[in-house]
Amino acid sequence: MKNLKVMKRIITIIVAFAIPVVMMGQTKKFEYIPKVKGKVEITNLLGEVSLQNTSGSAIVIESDFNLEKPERADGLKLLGAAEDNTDLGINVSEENGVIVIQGATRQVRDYKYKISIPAGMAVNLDYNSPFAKSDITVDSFNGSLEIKTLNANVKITKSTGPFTINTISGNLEVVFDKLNQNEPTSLATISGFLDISLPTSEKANIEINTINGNVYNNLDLKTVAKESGKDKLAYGMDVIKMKGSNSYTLNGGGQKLFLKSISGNIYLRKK
Amino acid sequence: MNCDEVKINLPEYIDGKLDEATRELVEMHIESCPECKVQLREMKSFLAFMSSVPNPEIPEGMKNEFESMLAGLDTQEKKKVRLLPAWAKIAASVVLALGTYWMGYKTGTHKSEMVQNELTSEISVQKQQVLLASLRDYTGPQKIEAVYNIGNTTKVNDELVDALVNTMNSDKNTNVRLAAISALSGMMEKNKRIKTELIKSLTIQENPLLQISLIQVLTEKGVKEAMPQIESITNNKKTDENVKAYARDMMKTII
Repeated sequence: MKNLKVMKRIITIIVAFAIPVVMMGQTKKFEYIPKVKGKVEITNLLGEVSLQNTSGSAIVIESDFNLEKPERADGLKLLGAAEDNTDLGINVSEENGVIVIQGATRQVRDYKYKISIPAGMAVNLDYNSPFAKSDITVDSFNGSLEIKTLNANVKITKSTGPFTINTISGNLEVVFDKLNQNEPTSLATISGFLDISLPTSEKANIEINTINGNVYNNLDLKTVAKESGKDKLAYGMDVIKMKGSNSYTLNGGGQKLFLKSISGNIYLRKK
Repeated sequence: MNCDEVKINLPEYIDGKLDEATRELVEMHIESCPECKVQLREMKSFLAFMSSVPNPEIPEGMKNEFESMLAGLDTQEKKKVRLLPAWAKIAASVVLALGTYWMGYKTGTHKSEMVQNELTSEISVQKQQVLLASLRDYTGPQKIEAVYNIGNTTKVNDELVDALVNTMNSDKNTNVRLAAISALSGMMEKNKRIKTELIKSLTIQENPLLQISLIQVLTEKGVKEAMPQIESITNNKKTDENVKAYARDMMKTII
């Protein structure tokens, strides 16, 4: 009798564990090998998007997309802006060295998309829509990444960029693994916050421009005094600049990091 | 003429190097095609922008790519479309021109005609590559870097201002436009036109970030002439609330 109870318990546990496994099994995969290793443009893909680099040569898209066709649609194809040629609700095409990944149906916003991009390709992600439902996460991305959002947040970890990101009310969180020293990074938001983490040894020129936001910092920043701001009367005195942008150097200076916010705070922290 | 043909001819069209008939065909098509109109505008601003950069540095990655491309040319299939950086335009056309001439010189009329036809089709492929390179190959960071470099040059001429104004008003990337606004405001004292261009841009920009940046620059410098434009932004129903609030506050400071 006791054995039976134990058995029951074990079965319940197994079933409990098995359900998520079955659910995970529903993740579908689509692979595309670019003809030209150029640029990737992602548009109209308003679900939960996560991006990362891969060492392989194929763009890999994984998704839990599972749109049920109404019975009436049997034998019919979905008619939309673009044909779903991936079985993931999205269309992937390549023309003139640009790979375009676009949502084929509005329902894509209910699903998750994990997109792996071969290292070295530049990505442009247009998430600038009021229908965007979720946030963007980026992990281990070392290359040019341009993102535009309306109110979606962007969270980047373990990456070097360079990034050009702008948003209206989204928050931007970037944890730099290293700062790309070849090209500048520019991050801008109106009412969201900017939270930047840099390794302590990183060299950078940081240009901060905020109107109503406050800047909080624990990096060892050195102010760059602009020569033109001084006149003869100010000889021997430091310039305190009250308006516009402020320039700082970190560890002697390096690649430029432009930070702009209107009313959001800016946080600069040691990684 | 269809869109593809027009796109191939755009660089020459902008340079004014097309013959009369082709130019008219291109013009006619552009008039009726919004997509090509956008292409033309982007291409124009981009070419103006690139030719005005004082000392264009070839981005490291691009250089490497081009070199590795040269190295691997023999083994590659000839038809494969490769992206060429803009500076390769001149090199490519010189090589092609010399090649065409040499071929024509060496062979008989009939043969040379054949070769020429082959070469012209090659040229159009080349043209397309150049176009693609200029429109697509530069990423946001590369353009920001270029804008920043222009902003730090001491000599400010009209060409430079034109290039920055074009970038400020028509680049696809908001961050690049932002960099252009900041560069222009930095050299406002050096060129009188900049002030009027910044004011004009107030009526063009739709992105709240850019609107606020323009208002910020103009009000901080005490440009009274911008008042009517700032006021009309505040009164526009479509304007973002953040922009309205900021514009109202800043207008008080420049009376």
